Amino acid sequence: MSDRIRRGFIMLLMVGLFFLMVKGPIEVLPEASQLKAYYMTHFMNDTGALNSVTGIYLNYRVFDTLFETLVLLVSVIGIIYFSRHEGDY
Amino acid sequence: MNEESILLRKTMGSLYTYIIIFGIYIIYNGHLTPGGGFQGGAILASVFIIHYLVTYSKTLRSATLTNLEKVIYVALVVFAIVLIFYLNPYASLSTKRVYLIIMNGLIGIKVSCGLTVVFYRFIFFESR
Amino acid sequence: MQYVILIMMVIFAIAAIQTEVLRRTIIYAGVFSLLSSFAYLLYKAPDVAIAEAVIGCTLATVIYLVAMTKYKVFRVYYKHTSTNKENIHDILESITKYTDYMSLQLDTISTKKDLHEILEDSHYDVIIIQNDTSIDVYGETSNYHFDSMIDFLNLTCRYKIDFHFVTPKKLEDNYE
Repeated sequence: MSDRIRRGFIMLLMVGLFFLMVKGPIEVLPEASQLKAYYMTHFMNDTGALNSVTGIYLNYRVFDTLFETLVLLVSVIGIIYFSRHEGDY
Repeated sequence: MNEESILLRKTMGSLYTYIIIFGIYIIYNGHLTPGGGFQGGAILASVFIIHYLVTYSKTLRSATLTNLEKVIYVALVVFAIVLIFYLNPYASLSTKRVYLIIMNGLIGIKVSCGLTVVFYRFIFFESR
Repeated sequence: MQYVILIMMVIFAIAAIQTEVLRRTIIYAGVFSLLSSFAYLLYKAPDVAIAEAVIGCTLATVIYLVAMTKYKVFRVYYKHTSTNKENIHDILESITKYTDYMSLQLDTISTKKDLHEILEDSHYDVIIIQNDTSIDVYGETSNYHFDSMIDFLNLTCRYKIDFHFVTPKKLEDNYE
């Protein structure tokens, strides 16, 4: 019974957080809007991409992409290490 | 779960090639339309999962895929560092476009290898 | 349209935590992921929508379902040395009720082997040995079904049952 009460409490907390997040005040920093304006006007000449997302994540933010793929590689290595399997290692 | 479902086999067998073509399309047009290496690689990994669900074959060399993934990661890092940090001011627009296509392709192959290895490890995982 | 999708996301998230059956939770989480992919599409982020639809809705759901089927079989070794035939089926009926409740697949093996021989075999969940006076239940401490089974049997079974914890065998080191 206490398990149901705990789950209901967590549920109410999550719903409240969700509505706080949706209804909360969002203010945009002026530097962020400047950066967005720069990216929107210059990405085609800087990167040669028509899709601005690809231009950003393969040219302006390459470090993010490289370490993100490194995270996937490390997780694959960890899964191979922790899952025992008869036969190969 | 060990018997083959004929409905699944016929449906997925006909959808097989289209999923591969769709994944390659998403990778190749990553710099023009929404999509990119990660999304296309995940779609290509789902092809392997369909292959398992259809045939229940356990003949897949995951060691080869792991080694391929490591080699491709090294190639990715070297390519990105050379082209972005050293040659970026001198490169022309078409060179940058080729760079985007090659990077998307490498990331796609790497992600599909990684997700396939993860899935097959969970399949063969010695339970208990 | 956005509010419809957001409210349905909340509903499916609540349903995913509140259901008792684990398989329904996986399906509800998949539907939640698909709805969040639609929400990303409505907020004009098609890249994230594609990634969410492929990863969250397809790959994660399939991996969870495969892991469910991996952990579904529940293997019971049953050794019976009692002379009176009355209370034979009682504990097996209780375990059948437990596996139905947890949506597992029961695999009962009646054996005449010794306890040590069964313990040597690694593929077991629970070992039941029934004598004239007592019922002994053995299980590994690392097995995560065993604790919930003890609670269930204490609630439902009429007889007194002795539970024993067995430390798991040392895993053989076959790493390079």
